[in-house]
Amino acid sequence: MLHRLIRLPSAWIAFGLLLFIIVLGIVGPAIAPYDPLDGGAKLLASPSLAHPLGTDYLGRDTMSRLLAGAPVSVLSALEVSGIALLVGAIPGLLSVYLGRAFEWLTLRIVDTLIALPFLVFAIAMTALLGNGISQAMLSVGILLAPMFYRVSRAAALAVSSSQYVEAAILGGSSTVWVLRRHIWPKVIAPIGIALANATGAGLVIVASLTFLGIGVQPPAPTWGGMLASDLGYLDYQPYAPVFPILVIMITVWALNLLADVLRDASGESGRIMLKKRALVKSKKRRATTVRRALQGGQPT
Amino acid sequence: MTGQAERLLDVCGVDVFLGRGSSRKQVLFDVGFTIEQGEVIGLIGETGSGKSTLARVILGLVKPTAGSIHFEGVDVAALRARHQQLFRRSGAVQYVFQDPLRSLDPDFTLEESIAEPLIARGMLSRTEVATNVREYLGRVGLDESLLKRLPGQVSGGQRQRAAIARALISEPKLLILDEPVSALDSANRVQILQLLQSLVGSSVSLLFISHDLGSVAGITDRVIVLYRGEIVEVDSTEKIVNEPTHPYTQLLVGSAPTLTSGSSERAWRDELRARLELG
Amino acid sequence: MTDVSTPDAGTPAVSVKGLSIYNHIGEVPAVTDVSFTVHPGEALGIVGESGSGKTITCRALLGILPDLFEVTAGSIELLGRDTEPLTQREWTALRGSVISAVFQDPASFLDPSIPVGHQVAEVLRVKKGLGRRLARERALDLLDAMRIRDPEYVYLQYPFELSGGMLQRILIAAAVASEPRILIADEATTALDVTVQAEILDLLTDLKDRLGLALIVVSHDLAVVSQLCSNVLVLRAGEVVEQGTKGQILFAPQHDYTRMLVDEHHRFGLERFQRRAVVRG
Repeated sequence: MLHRLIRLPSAWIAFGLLLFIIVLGIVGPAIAPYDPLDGGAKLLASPSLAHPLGTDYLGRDTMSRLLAGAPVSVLSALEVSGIALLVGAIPGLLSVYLGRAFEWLTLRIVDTLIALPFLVFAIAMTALLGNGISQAMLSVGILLAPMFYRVSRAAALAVSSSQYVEAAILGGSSTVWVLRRHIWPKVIAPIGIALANATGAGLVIVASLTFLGIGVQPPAPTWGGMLASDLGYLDYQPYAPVFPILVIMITVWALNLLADVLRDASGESGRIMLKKRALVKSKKRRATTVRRALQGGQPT
Repeated sequence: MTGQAERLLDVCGVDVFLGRGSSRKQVLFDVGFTIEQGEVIGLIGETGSGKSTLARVILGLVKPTAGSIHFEGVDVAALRARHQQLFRRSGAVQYVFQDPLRSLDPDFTLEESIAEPLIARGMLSRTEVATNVREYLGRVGLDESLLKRLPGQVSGGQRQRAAIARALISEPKLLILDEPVSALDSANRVQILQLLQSLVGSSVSLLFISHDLGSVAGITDRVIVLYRGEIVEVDSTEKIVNEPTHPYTQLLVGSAPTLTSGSSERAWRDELRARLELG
Repeated sequence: MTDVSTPDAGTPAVSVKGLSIYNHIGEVPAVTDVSFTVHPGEALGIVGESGSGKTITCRALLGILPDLFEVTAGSIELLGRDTEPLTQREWTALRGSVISAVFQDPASFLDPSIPVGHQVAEVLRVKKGLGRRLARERALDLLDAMRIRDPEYVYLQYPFELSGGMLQRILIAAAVASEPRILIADEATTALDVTVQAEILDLLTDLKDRLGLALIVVSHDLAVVSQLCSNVLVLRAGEVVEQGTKGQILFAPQHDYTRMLVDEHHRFGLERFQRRAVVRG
């Protein structure tokens, strides 16, 4: 699959952006020019050379706060999708092989989880477990698990009932071999796509929770929290919310792009892709000229 | 003295039920026949006759409710999972699916698909595997340049040849083929039938499964006719075609249009159908 | 019914002259210089494999050529009328009432959520403007004409409840519902068991004789074509390789390709064993 990914320009964009954001998430606080908690500068200043994104209502540098808030948001989003992956994908894969009772049980649990609304559940969990971002992420992770369950189960079902798996078994291949060489590669791609999507969803949820003040308390900077406080000072700095919003948006967009890219590069579309790309590019140009000629009633 | 150990395949009294609970029904009724070494057999039956199920029973994918399947004296239907895998590894019985587009892993190159049975066995070195693959590639008439292609990148005929190569590489004693040429065009059909015909004589027995007698009559020695889960007639191909005795066989032979005659008259076929309903 | 089996030699139902179709996607000719005529009550067989151009030719006759397939030469006349200047609207009026077709996979041509009888009746309501009750009656008549044993019962069945052969009968019923003069059967029996195929082929012959249809039977199987058709056209890679009466093609094939098709039957088919004609009791 990797060699197909390399051919897609959108893959480069997605990976590039995400790499950038992850790096930011790791080194963000270290490279922040100012101490994000230090409110020494002019209050609610407009963007300037000294403060490229301006300052907030306490005189803290906005850019530094965004950078400092990156780890929380990025890592929490990854925590969410990581938990969802483990809690969802493993039962999903096993449900195909462990028999009807297990299948029935997991399906019903998943049905229940799907019925619960995210934010309400997350808030309730923090009330139960304590007001920390990790607890909130744990609950959101559990709620996102059904997506992974369904995706991994569907992929495993499709493959395990396929004829080529049957052919491999008839040829004497062991179950381990079949799992490793036939099933796993076809299952990992949809799970990867779901992971990208889930991380995006997780990020939005983190932002929503911190916006509501749950999880991480001020003065610690978070993207959602910054947005919340910015809204309180719109009269003075109407442009201020744009910054945290943009950061969230770009990250989520990059994740969704990654999901699309993975989808295009895997499975049937991926196999056709290599063959089609060259063909379509040259044919497209000819086809439009031909179509125009046909409509005009002229022979080509 | 010809005992069971001499016969390649001895199917005896096989009953098969499929489905569970209220949808459980019997699909094979007291099925029994034999295949000797070097024979080419045609198992002919319409959709729903149970021919595919019978193939799956022989392959050990479905367990018969009653009866036995003796392969060279060993009851393969009664094998436990571990022994069944060993039996499969021996490659004695191989199967060619009807649609190679589905029976070849779309992400495996043709080389990987053909080599898989050998790699699974893990007894040969990489170079030995490669040599074997090349040898069988040649035998089925495929060019080496196709080794690195994916199934989706080659033609239907080439795919089917690759599937046959995969089956042959285990050097089976019995090769079961399910409508192997129905999806191919005339040129490919002829070539593959010729290829299969050339195998006869070397110690491979062939079992063709088809709904169309006409597609395999040219190379089968004997024909087994399956109707609604029961074997209704077994005889040499010549006899089945020219002097069928059971009404269903008569209907089967009578329905097929040939170049020299159309199918038999409708009135006669209707009468045969009526007889089948009653009998 | 009146016996319309004697063709009126003057007005062919289908007249194709020098038809050439170009495939702009693959940038190859799909069909080159194909000509044939079919008179009412007559059956023409088109023998070809996939990629021979047989399906594209049928689509051209029905006015449903895919985008970017262009007729570059020749003409198609249906009932004496040139189809070149026809608009989409005129084609829609033509389909069903002048020319109709059945194809290979019957299930994919039926709506799985509507009982089959209604789908036949729908043709009558749309094409002939019949009211609901009348359409239903006429649909039942059609099912009966298709030799379906219990039309009332089958009428209410959903496609998934019926066998391939039964579904094909339904589609043939729908195809002839608005009394076309020309019927195309494109690999109509390929997916069916041989015993069912015989029934359908009989049905087609029956309809041709009773209704005076001009029948075009497309198949890769020479034997199917030879049972129904008096004239045969052999297509390969878009070109006519050989053309003539059934007798000429089967017993005196000129072209290598045709010979290969005939030989295949003699080598591997039932013909190898049959010294005499049809097996009867």
